[in-house]
Amino acid sequence: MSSTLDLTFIRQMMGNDEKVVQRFLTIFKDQCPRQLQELKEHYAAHHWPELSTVAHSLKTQFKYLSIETLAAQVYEIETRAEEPPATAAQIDELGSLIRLFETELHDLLNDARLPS
Amino acid sequence: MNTTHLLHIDDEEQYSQLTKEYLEMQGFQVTLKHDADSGLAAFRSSAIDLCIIDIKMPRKDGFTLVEEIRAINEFVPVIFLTGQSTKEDKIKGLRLGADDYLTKPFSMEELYLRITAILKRVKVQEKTRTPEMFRLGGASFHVDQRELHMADQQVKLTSTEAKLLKLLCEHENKVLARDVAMRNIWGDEEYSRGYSLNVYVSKIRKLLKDEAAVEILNLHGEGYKLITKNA
Repeated sequence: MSSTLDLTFIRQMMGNDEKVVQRFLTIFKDQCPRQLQELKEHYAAHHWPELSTVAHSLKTQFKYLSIETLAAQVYEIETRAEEPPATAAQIDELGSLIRLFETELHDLLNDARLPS
Repeated sequence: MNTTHLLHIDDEEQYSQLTKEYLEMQGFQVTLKHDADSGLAAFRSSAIDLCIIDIKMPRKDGFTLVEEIRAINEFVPVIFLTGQSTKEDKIKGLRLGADDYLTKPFSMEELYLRITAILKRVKVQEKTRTPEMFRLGGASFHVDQRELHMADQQVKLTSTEAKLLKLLCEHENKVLARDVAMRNIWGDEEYSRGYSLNVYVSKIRKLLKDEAAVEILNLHGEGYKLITKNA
């Protein structure tokens, strides 16, 4: 995943209001780890609709930040949870997707180039 | 100062707060709720001019919420927010009377422009839709002021009385079904509402008792019928 964050789109969406953009980023950095935790908890409890809803919310945030790889990963999680996994293999696959997403999200959040 | 009241319902708490603040900066009054049930409660308790509703929410989705809102108010404009806009979603939303769709991520300015365009359209439609006044024999009911003007007095109606009288007037010489009345007034058809409905009908009958040309019939098991002999 590219470590450079492109803020062109979010700036455009927020009417080039730098204060709003910075607030968005602050919320993003604060909220993402909590939502990742929620994803993992819902996965552990097999709460599929809830898992899908959290993934849906995460997806929108990545789209605002033009982080297409994470948006695509989380979209995959959302759609797989929407049609509840029926077999142990499907549940494992979903777990692998969440772990992959977790690794990449940590990379992004630890990235020094993520605006502070 | 724009006093248009928007109801924004989105389970995404922090980002929807940004949208709320942006719209408030444009002069709107914005009520923000994060789930369908509290959104519906806010809709019932306030005069809302336009709703902005996220489709995907936990427990109850935006489509179900709009169905419930439509049972209370057929005309209030609705903008759906959606993560991915499928053809099926659009059709479903349009069937529910959605006025617009906005796919996330959206531009704040675009949301603002869509809201103002819809409100402009609604204003024109409203002028041709609801009469501001109904004639009831020698009396007149002024809807916006919630006032009943009779030969010797003017009575200020309560919000519930006014809603009921407006419904009766809109169904003049036709049956106003009990369930329709309860849904429109209280948003549900709970059994206990039936008693309240009877009480309010009696109050309105009493207010209009001197109007010989006006009668409110009780149609057992069906509802009520306002009969007028307007010239």
